[in-house]
Amino acid sequence: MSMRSKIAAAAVAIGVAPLIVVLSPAGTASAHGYISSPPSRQANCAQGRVQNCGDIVWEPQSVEGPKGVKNCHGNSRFTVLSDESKGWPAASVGGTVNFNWVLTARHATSTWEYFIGGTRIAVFNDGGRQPGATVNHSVNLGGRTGRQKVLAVWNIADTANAFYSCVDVQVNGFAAGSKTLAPA
Amino acid sequence: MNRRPLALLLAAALLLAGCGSVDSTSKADFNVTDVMFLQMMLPLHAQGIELTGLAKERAVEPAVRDLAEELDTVQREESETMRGWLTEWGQSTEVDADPGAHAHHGGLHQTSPAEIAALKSTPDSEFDTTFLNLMTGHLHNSVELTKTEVDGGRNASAKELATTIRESRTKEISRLLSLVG
Repeated sequence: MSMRSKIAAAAVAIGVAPLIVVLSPAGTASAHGYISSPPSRQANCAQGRVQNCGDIVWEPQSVEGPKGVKNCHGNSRFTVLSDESKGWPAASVGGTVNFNWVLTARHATSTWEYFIGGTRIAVFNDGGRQPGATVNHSVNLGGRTGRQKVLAVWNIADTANAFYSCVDVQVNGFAAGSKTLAPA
Repeated sequence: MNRRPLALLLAAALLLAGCGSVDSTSKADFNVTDVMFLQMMLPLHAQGIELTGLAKERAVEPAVRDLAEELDTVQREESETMRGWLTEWGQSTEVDADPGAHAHHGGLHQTSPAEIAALKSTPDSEFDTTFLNLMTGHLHNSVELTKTEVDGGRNASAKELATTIRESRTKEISRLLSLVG
């Protein structure tokens, strides 16, 4: 069946709305997801806590790039997210952090990965399933303390792409699951 | 990111398919993109009103409840305006937005009944966080939908509404994020 007749058939079958779906692969990528809390860098931009972030304020959910990238912008055009001179605020957290995602399209998922400094500290395997209504993961930071940059990656099952979120945190040493700080 | 080619492609496909065609005898100045925008924004707003309706009743934090009430009001007012235009233009106010029809794509980009059901069954201790994350995603989808109208719409009032939704929802997303973060 030609593209034209597919479009016509789809339109006749189920009305106007599906045309967006049929045609979107030919257009620009549409929305997806990012970490809202603790706030990711794109969330801090969208919230206005960090200024002069550029277009990312309109679509923090669109930090999409090929799988396997290890930077905060996922090789997307939003390079500001990897700019370490931006003074990203760090959220105060304990040794185990609950990461909450905002999703705008629930793509079938292979894995959710969390990295600190090139080390993968957690992975959640969804086995190709579509995520639920909300997604959150409890991640143990492995006793790390002080300021840390967590890179979270959402690996899509049926495309070569992933979505990237960096979350800056300040780990206080006294929370459950972490080492006790030596007295000063 | 330039959405114009997509908007034109959509408009062309709509004409090709005989969908969303406009009544040429109407005096109102509008095109298929205007009609599509309104017909798709209406169900999106209906889902948003379901979310804010739940949050008005159940949100624990007063600031969350206040924001839910504001969003509830603005979505209702905009829906009335949009329905009014479609009726005035002689166009249907209904569109098949069954997310099940688009499951192969991970669902149409909207808040599905499953998500609204999930919010309903969320315990009070997790309600605010769940609502804030769902509502933020929902508003991102509303903002995204305005792009084709801003780029390819013809009716001045509809385009102005799209711009207003894009800007005001982006501000509200900022507030939602500050409450969840």
